[in-house]
Amino acid sequence: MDARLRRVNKEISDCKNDKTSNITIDLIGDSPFHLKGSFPGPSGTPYEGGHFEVDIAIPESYPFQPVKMKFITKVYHPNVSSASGAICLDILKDAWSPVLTLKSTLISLQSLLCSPEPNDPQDAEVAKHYTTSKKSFEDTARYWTQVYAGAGKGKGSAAGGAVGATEAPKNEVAIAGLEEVHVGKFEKLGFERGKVIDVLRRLNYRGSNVTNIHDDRIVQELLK
Amino acid sequence: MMDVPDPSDFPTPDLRALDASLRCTICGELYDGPVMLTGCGHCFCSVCVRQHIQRESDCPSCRMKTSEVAFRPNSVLEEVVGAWKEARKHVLDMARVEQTLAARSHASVALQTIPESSNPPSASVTPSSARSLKRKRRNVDYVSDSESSEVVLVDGSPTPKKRPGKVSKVSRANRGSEQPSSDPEEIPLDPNSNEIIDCPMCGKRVPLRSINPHIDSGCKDVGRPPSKISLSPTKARNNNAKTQWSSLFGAGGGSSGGPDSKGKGKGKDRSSPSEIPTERLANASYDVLKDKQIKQLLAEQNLPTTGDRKAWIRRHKHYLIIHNATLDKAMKNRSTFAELRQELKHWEDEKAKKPASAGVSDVVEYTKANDGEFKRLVQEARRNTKKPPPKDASPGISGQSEKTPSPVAPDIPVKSEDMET
Repeated sequence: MDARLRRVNKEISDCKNDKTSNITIDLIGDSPFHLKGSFPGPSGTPYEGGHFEVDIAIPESYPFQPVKMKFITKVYHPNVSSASGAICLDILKDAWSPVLTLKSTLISLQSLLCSPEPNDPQDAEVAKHYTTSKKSFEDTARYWTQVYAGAGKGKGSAAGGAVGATEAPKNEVAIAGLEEVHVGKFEKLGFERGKVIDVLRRLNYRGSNVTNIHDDRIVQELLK
Repeated sequence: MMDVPDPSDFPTPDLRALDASLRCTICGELYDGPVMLTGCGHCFCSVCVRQHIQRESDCPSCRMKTSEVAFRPNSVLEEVVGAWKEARKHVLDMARVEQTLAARSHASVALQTIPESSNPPSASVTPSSARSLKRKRRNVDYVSDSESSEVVLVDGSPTPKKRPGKVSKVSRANRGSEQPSSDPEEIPLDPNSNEIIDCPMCGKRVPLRSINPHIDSGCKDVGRPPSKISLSPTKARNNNAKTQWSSLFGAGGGSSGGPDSKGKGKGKDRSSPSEIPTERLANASYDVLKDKQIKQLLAEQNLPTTGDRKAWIRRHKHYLIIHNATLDKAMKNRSTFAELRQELKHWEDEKAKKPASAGVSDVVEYTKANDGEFKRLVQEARRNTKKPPPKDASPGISGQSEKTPSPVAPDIPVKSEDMET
């Protein structure tokens, strides 16, 4: 048996034996090199109470090359792509070290949720939202956690990607991190609701930015 | 999933910590030819850290800058791991037995298991306590063994040298000189024995009985090919029963050289000292070498020259790693050239298997999982290109429309789609 397989085996059993970290690793299919990890959202953050699932692909030259990880669960976070789940984290790229394990990497993801790094964003729009108004960002992140990661409201466990989109109706204004008043204002002018949300989100119409962006600008965008 | 031995095999945290501390943090195995990085002092298997150093020039643990010249074989650790490999199974059995006993009786008994079971690893260092440990082990897990074997192994008759003495021998053989006979407890110099010594003139390893003809011949005649000093610990375990029995019967003559060499003979057949690598190979700068020169490099090591240039370089690189790594081990643990070539072949076979299976299965799975999204993106892109005056295309979408749907890039279109539904 080759060294990579042996090591992955050990790491999986290590996670199984560790009851304190609440981190789990499961096989997705038959291959031991394509796994699914999960961890609870860190407490004291908008992600608290959520259950986050991560797709793990183990490259051929693991552990000398970093594992490939991306979120299966949709996460509203500056360093996680809100669409694809791609993660921007140094240890998954050039700061990887072969002594890191699947467990330690998942713990790092957990702590990435605690401390967003908007200056090195994966999702520029989310990062803009974060820097404009942290409060509004946290509300949105909390809402996403409820909707997609199954926190509170009992929406069931992690609804990932496309599955989440077809679930119970969600407040798309809240998902976009906008305010109903603003959306309603432009909707009344006769624009399509979805379009209004899209434009306002792109322009980052939040917090203090609301006063900076003139209504004409928005209407211009809406007419495009 | 198959069962791979790891620290969690042990029931108590102290033994788990002991086992974990004797494992390389890169591969998770018990150290194999451990090297220490001078500078930070971290320790890894030679093969592991040499593979790492090909990509990065820092310590995997602390990221301190390092390079191949900073590697030092850690022979003491190698001894310790060798001894632990021997003792591990027995300690494990003992710990489990005690665990069950403790479970059966009351909680107060459980307290005693900890000092009891943590004893053996340290005990295995000295021969005398190793022997007493042996007695314990016998009681625990070789209950079905015949009485005779038990007697022979514990009562200090001339023969038990093989097993209890083995631990001490591991340590001595490592501790520098490859002169097993210099040890007072070892076999006395017997001109007729098969003992192998270093020639005082040329340093080659020569059977003791042919040392004189060897020197007389001007150090040209290597003499009868000597067999390898001792078995590697793992091999030894496999042959455990056999060697024990052969040592029992072979010892009849009383000649201490006899059983010993017989035991050795059962190991790998190392017909000549030249079969064990002794010199390090230097890294080559493949980029400046011509195909012919690379082929020549391979030929020098008797390696196959099949495949293309890329394959040659990969093959030679990996051979350098395992070759130089085996030099970080004690003489008795080193692989022969033949074994190295075998290992290289095995490694290449594994490599050849993988891209086909792992790569394709991943892609297929990925395509399947994201099929819907791909289709939607393609449709969206087509729709946008068909309508040159983009009535409803936001900048984000039109920017993406020409691209083929990549799994990661199109944040914006996907998101806007979500919004609209």
